[in-house]
Amino acid sequence: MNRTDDIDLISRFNSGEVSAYEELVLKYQDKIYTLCRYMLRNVHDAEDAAQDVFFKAYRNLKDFKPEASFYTWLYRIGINTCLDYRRKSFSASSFLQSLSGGITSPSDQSLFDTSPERLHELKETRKSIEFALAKMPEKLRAAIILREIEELTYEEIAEVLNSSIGTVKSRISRAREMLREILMKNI
Amino acid sequence: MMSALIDGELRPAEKESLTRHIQDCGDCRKLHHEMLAVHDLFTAAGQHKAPRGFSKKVMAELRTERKSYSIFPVRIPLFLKLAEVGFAIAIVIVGIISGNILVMNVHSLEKARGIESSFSLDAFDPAPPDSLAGAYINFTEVRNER
Repeated sequence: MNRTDDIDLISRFNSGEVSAYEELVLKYQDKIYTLCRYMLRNVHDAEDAAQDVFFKAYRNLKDFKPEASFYTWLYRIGINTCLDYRRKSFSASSFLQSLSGGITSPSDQSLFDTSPERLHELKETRKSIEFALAKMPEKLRAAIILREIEELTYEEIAEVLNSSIGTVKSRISRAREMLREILMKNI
Repeated sequence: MMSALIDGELRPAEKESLTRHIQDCGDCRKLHHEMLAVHDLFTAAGQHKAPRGFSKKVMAELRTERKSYSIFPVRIPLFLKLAEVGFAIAIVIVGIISGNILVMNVHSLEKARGIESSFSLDAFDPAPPDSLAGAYINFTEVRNER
């Protein structure tokens, strides 16, 4: 992820060019939405949470320090927002939807251009992963999503989660162990 | 360490040592294979795409928010906010001081009245009403009236 581009866009935004922020949204919307989907599982909550992430980033962008990495800062907002959503909104409807899978929504763009076989395979894969992730403690889930889905390094994950690298390694290892036990039973 | 091997986070010497061990140990080979399968599952799942029109929705919401804030388009500088707080504190202090002065004046007024009453000529009455002489005078006056 190109840090210079991010700094340039932020600088333009702070000078009053609001359209620069839309470029940031376009750049990171898929990543943040994916993060929210896997953290929350419920499709509607994920979309709302993803929007909230960008609202919060917008309001606090003037306080963002250019020496820091924008995307780890954004991911941190994302993780915290998802954790808030989980605490606030354990509703019957979201619970039921999470049980039924909530995998796809009519607007799931990643599925539009795939063949039926590939589509089915993708759905099943995501369903398995989401099912397994839902069984994990939040801290392990956040760490493994940032590693496996968002492909952050251990240092970046430590920055996002405000933890040490040792803690990150331990969480990822435990998360993989849990996933292995859950998923290997179903394969 | 198996997890770190999958993530490419091992030092070369550690990687070589663990890889050799995996080749020799059946249980570890099985564990490594299963962990790789989990990793591959995530790779296959890939990223979701944000819903259609997501960025437009975000920007539209932010524009609405900016409009509602623009009722007060001028951002009040920090020093003015501090001045406002300082002024409020000054008013409170003035109120406390003036209240204290008022109370002190009331006390001094009461003191003055006390002093004033002590200067009354009644203090020099040779036969005050509540004295023996005063009582005798009252008695004789009543007798004379009869």
